[in-house]
Amino acid sequence: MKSPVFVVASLFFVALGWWLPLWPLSALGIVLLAAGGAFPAAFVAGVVLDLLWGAPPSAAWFAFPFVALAVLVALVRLAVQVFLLDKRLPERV
Amino acid sequence: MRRTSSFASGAIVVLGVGAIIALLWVGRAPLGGALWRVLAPVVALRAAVFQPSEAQLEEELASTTAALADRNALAQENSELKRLLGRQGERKTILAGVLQYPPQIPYDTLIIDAGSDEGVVVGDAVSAGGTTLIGTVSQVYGTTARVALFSSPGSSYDALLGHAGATVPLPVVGQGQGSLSAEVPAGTPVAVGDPIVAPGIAGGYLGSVARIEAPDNSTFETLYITAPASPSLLHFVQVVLP
Repeated sequence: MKSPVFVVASLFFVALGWWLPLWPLSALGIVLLAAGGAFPAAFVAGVVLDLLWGAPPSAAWFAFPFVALAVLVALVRLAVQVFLLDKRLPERV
Repeated sequence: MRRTSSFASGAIVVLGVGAIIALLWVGRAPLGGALWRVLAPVVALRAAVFQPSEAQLEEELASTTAALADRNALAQENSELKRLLGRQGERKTILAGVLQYPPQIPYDTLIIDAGSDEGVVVGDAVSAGGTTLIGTVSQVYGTTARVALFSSPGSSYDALLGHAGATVPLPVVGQGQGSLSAEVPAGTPVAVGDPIVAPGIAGGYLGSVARIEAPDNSTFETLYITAPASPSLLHFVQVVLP
């Protein structure tokens, strides 16, 4: 999942979402990056989008929603790996 | 030994993440400004690609000119009365093009192509034309600025409700998607279509009451207000200088 093609394609979604603009497309790119294990790229993309689009007006000025999305998806991925995918059934009951 | 090295590497990671977070918090505005400057050519290219055609603009202009004719006469009369009474309600404005607007970008905000280079500062009111206010400047970069619309979810502003010559002060709250709401005590004289205006001598039209919700036995009524202009249809806005 972390192949360069996958990372570049996801970053393309992020960039296209900003350029069109269509923010759900950018959010999808970040979700794909974080879920695919390219967390540094997801974090950087989140930071860039948060710097460009700013924080929600009613939220605190230090809110970074796209970074939070990247972190959340990365944590979900970690939890899935640890608690679901890596679990082994006991050999004997 | 192994435990010490893992502790050290963990501490380095925590310190590194902390430093990045601190840098982002402190440098959000300058970093954002630098990014917008770097991306200025891309923004210009985008504006050239998505620019509305001349014919389309002329068509829109023709349809709005007639509607504005009586408004201009009233505004002139209003301004003249204020001048006679010794209060100048006129304001200086800067025309700005809308680069990005909701719902294509999040949080009910606009990105406009005027920034600190043109004298825009945080807190400047933004109008859709004339006295129709739609939001305030929330962040300023070199060549661009971010406008928080009054309809941004959670944003709250003081306003006045006009009804049959009387005014009632009320706090207006943004609901997102170009709509606002306000609560008034039950029994307050209000009707659908009543104007909501900004307080102050310069004033400004914020919207009109679209629906009134008055549940039985409730001490308050909820007013739903529609903004005067749809942000997604705006090509230009005016930044009102202080």
